[in-house]
Amino acid sequence: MKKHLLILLSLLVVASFVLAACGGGTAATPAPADSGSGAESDGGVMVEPEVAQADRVQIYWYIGLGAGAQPQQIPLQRDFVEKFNASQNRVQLIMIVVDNQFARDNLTAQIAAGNAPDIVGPVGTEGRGFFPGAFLDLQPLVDQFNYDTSDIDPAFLEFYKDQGELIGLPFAIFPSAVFYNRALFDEAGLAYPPHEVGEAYVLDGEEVEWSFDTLAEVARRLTVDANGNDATSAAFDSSNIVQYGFDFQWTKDSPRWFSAYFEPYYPVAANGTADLSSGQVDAIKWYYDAMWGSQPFLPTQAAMDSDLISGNSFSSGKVAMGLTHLWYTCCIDQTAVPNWDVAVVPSYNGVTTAKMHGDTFAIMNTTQHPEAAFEVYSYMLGEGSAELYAIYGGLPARTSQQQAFFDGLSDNFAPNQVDWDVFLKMIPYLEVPGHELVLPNIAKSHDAFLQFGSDLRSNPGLDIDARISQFLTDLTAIYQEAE
Amino acid sequence: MADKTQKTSGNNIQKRETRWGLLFLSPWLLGFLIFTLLPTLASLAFSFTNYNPLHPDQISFAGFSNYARLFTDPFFRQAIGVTLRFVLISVPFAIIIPLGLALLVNSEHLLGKNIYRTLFFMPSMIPVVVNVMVWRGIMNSETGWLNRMLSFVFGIDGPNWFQDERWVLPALTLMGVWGVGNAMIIMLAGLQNVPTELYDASKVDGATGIQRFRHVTLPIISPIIFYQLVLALIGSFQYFTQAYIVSNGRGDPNGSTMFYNLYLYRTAFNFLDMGYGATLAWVMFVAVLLITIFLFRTQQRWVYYAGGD
Repeated sequence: MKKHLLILLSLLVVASFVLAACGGGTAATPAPADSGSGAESDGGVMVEPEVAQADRVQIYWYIGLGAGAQPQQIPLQRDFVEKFNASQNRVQLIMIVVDNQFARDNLTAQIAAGNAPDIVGPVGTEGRGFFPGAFLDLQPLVDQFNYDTSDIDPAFLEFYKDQGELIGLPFAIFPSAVFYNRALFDEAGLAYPPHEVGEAYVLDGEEVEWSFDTLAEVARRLTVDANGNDATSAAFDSSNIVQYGFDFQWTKDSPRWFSAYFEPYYPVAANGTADLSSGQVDAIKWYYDAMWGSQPFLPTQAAMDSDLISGNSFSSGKVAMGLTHLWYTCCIDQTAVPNWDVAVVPSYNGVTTAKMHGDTFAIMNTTQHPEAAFEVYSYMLGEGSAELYAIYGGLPARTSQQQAFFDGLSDNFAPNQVDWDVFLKMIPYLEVPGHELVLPNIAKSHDAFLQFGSDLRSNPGLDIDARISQFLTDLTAIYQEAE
Repeated sequence: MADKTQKTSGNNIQKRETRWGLLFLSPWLLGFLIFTLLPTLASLAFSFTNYNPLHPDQISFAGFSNYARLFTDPFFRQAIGVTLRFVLISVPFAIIIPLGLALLVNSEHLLGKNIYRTLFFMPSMIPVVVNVMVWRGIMNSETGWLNRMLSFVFGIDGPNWFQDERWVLPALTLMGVWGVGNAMIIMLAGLQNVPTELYDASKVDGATGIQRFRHVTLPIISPIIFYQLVLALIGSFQYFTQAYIVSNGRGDPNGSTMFYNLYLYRTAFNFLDMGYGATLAWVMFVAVLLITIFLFRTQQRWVYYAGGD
């Protein structure tokens, strides 16, 4: 009897060890990878709430593939999740926040492990393009729940279709504009950039076209070394810059991104080889010269990593202009930059192009609870959308919500006055074709663009023509690999 | 007869003990089988397929094509080159610096030994990711204090540590020096095990400090050096985290930090070419195994085991 009891006890201990080793849990839905580590793990993954409620269906919301992983946004998203969870008693929304730099790899690993989240977003066209076939066609759910799309431009609905499937409902658009620091312009005695497309810029008392050449000249005058000399001065010390004139704010990692401001072009020739338009080549050369030329005005990679800028150039207060999207309103430090405004995108060869991002949320086709996920989804785009627009700085795709969105932004940045209409004025100048259209062999080709961009930012000794030529050869090989 | 009965009883006890032993070992055994052996065998199987984790239904047998691809893959050669360069640069440092520090903190002339031991060991307790972040700041070419110090003390412009292809590997090596505390402690333990009578005898024979180090200290601690060498070599071949962070996961600048494991990771998880990724993993495993075997073979020539092993 005693022996049997001992054996039974031993078996129980062994079983408990095995269960513990296998990480058994009580959640109805398996927790995605890294979720067991509590609020934040070493890998920069945050999962909240940490405890799954047994009486609810868990819907995991993956944040980081696009916007949402900035420190300023996380507490606001936490509030959103808490509010949703308090609003009903059937679904528990759990957010997973992953640093944007690692989010694609992380999500890939989760999908590969059969542990994918339910909802992903906000995410743009490019981000969705990395996961072809991974998202649910929402049209059946839209029909099932009679979801009202009457207030959405049909063109936007088309914009979010992939191979004919509606993989996201239009949520937010992010037009571009030049963010500028009024205080630095005042200090340099320069006129502010124009707020109307076609409006001239006044430089040295003369009206000139607001083009990338003009922007470069203004930026040089706004770039200052430790001795107070600007970049146009003969005494300028380019090794000791304390203020920069311009940056492609978080839009420069890939040359495909910033070159779209010069000339939109899909970099695949009719015969399937890699190709860049002359405008794109000009953009790359302009950008490289802005960092490594004799009168630099744009931060290099080392400058971006420095204490001066710490990765967020315009918000550091040490960069006078940043060309970027509306989502950047998420991340401006109002203490460092209390007095800023926005201006129109400069022209290239007389043409203005304002590239745009269109973000949304997508439901993964592996979800075990599509209806519950759509319930959350509807809340995100409906009742809870105002909060999300404020968090992500996205202009609502529903026209009826746009004024309220701008009013919210004005409140956020008061007493600073920002001319938000500039963003609306930029919408007609959207790029066609889009800079996020999926490329052949997308993971590798996108990576090749990123490597090229990194080389431009880091390497002062490039023969730029030879480097572009090499890049096109490499990219062609990558395209052909997929055939 | 009694002897036979005793023998049978002994066998039964042994069998029972074996069963109980296996029972108590079973959590680990199961864990090993499920989480180590099975994935290892699965990766071997994957290396003969075109497995893509996003489309597992499209898996097909690829024969030896993944292995043949190694011979035509320029990025494979690049990754091998970067890794070997790093091994050649970093492994000597991983031996010499901890040994030097251990000698220093073991010196009878040093005051406050325990303070120095603690100080030298402390950085190794810092997580790798934090270590990299800190060093990125220290070595920033514009605002990092290392370049400022070079400029102030020597009047020279420091290199662009993490953006210059020529300097990034030395920079990573320098960064690694911060974490030599563990190796230093092991070396220190080895030094403290050197019998003092050997030093006394050599002093009587008129040996100088350098001679004592060369002919007494080094042979006695050679097993420790051998152990550190094997660890440093394997660690250098498996170098990943620091390179991943410094290079944005892409081998920046211009592929100069495309370590073998980083390339493997990118192939398998960025580009989802899991079949080729598994092939790369097995090639690395075999290469490191061969190098380790080679090292073990060489130890007969230079490693001295006091016990005669």
